[in-house]
Amino acid sequence: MNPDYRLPHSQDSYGFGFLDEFAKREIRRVILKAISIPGYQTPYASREMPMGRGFGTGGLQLTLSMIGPDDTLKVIDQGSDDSVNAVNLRKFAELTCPEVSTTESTTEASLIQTRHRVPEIPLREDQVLNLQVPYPDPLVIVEPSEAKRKIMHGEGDYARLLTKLYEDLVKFDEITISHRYPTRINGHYVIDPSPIPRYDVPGLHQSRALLLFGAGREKKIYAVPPYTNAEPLVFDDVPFRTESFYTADGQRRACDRCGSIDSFLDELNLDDGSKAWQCSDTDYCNRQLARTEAGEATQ
Amino acid sequence: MNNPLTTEQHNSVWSPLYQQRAFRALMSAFSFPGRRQSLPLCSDATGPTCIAAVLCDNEVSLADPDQLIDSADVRRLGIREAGVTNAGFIVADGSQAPTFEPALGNLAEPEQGATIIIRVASLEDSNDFPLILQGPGIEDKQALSVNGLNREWLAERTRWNRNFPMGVDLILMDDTQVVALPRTTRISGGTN
Ligand SMILES: [Zn+2]
Repeated sequence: MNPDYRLPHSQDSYGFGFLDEFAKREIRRVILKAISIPGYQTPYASREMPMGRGFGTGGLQLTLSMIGPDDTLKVIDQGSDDSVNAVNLRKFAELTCPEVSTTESTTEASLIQTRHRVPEIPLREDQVLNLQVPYPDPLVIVEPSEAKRKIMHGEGDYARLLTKLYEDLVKFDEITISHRYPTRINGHYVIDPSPIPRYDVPGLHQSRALLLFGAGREKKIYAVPPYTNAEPLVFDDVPFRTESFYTADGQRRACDRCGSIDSFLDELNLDDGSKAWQCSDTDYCNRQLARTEAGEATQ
Repeated sequence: MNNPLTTEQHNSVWSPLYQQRAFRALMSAFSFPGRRQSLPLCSDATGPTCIAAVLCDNEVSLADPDQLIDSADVRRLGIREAGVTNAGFIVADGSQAPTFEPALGNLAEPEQGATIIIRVASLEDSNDFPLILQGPGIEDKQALSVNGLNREWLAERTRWNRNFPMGVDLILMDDTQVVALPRTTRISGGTN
């Protein structure tokens, strides 16, 4: 936290959100343009925040520009509500937005700020997902000039990016990008969907909720509106594959905690040198565990 | 200078709470084109001022050729007034056919395309505009009723938006509600 940081003074109960009203208004204008041009990295004047850029300031600025006393906020990092980053961001929101409720439940949240995961439970129309983005531009790997990249994006010209992916395929017999898989939105712009696993990319497609992406350091905001196509860049003869959690003998791994076989699993290294697998989405894992225990109790 | 003070009454368009709630209505409107969203109630403004207060300040330019925003509100907004051809925001009377060419942005900066706030008589009923919308934000099809929108608007909008990603984004508003038509929305039916 910035040592100069003080809570905003206010005469009544509504002096909140940390950002001043001009900063909020600019982000609000940019959000509407980002929704209107799906996948376009809309520039904005990212403000200084009392934490370093790279700690989710882009996602946080999205959240603070829209949050109000009617909202219930959930903050997750790699699927977890309890990680240090998620706890710090949630505390910051509680400090600066005193009337807002916070929750760890995906279904109770109206706003969800996240780093590196999309929740397992499909979102609803009345929810908004704000993703924290470190590197917004998928064309960086093929074109160093931002001015040229902007033209390529505008023209929907991703030939060089596809060539790069193809070289990868020839060399490794598989597209090796595990996270930040380039994804085409509404048939035009290709986005970096932030470091979510490939497993989460299908969840961006025709989502019922608005998905917003905030890159604080790079000063860009982009959107995948609800009911919008989000298609990973692929070649006709090579299907897009998500991470599979199969054992050597072909069994789908289950979460060692809740037993789920339909969630994204984190690999854990235990003290005794063995490995364990657990849902990365802690809310989902807790729900499955509660359901299992309730089922056992009634038997 | 459109600097909302926390001492404002919460139902003032100049209060942070009004602006936050109205923004959420606008964000929903853009997320789900064609669906009506209610603006929060306010005590001290009507019409396009309610939207300008949420989105406009001295960092943007606004053209109001039909003078739909009260001059005192224009001063309070602190906006830079501009001609319609290069304004970031345009406020217009929907009953009149548009006679201007708005900014459409360019390939590298499509967000420079104008946002046009169009005052219409009603979004509840329609005389001759049962419109069908498709595109991002619409699961299958969305019907839109609008009364008091000169049909030339739709023809001009189609022309302005013919080269995606360039184009304009429209906000239709009546006394209490808004409907957004971002540049990605395809419109059929009506008299088109
Ligand atoms: Zn689990």
